[in-house]
Amino acid sequence: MATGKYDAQVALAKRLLEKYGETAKLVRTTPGAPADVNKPWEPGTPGVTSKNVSAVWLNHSVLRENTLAKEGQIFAIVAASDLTSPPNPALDHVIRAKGARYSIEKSEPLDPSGQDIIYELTAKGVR
Amino acid sequence: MPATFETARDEIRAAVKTVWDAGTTAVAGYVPAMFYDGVPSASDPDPAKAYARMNVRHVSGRQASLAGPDGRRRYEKLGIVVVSVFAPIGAAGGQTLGERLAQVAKDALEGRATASGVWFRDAVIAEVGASGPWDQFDVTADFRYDEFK
Repeated sequence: MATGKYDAQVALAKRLLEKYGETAKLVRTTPGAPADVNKPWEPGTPGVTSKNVSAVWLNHSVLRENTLAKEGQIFAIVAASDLTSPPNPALDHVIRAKGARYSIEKSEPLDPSGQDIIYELTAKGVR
Repeated sequence: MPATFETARDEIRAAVKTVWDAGTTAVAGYVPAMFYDGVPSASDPDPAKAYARMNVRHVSGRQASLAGPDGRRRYEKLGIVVVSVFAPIGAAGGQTLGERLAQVAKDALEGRATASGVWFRDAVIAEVGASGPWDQFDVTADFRYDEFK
């Protein structure tokens, strides 16, 4: 594993998120190759992969006081070391430990010097 | 063959794709990626290259005839197709590249019709301006077709 300036913080984030959070599942649905090359807008059977991630879930009053968070939005802090690539709102959704599913509206890394420590997800429940 | 919601969408997208694939290499030296509304993509656009995004939007519809002898009526459907062309601002010939690619997209629509009777009209290129590292041009055209049922 490559070493970086913030390795200690990456490990600390992971440890604290494991301790105070829960194990959620990040599910990625990758569009399949289209059966007809002349219809690239009709992807084939998607590939679905999932990855367990340590996450702490916060409502907006905790994380974003006095901001205009939309009703129904919830925020999650996810350990970057659990993932090999950043969450992708177009492809990923999250399943909490109790089973509730959330789409990802936005994913922002905390990445001083380019090394990802955590991802802050803005998520919304899937009804 | 009269159009349906699905065939109209497919034919509109195919009409643009066919001309885009055939005509853009001469302009850009490659076929810029085309993204479709509602279709997830595993990759983001390359900021060093041009790309386009296509939206097909139905806007309105109306019953356009009384029932014929077979009891079927004609229903007219109207909509807008938008092809947003993005050309890298810093690339050689940046704005001209965007204009020429937009022209390719416009040529795919202007004065054309599809096999099941989707007609395009009032195609126009609108300069939108800078959008991140790209210069954006929106090609819009109205479309109409008839459904029978």
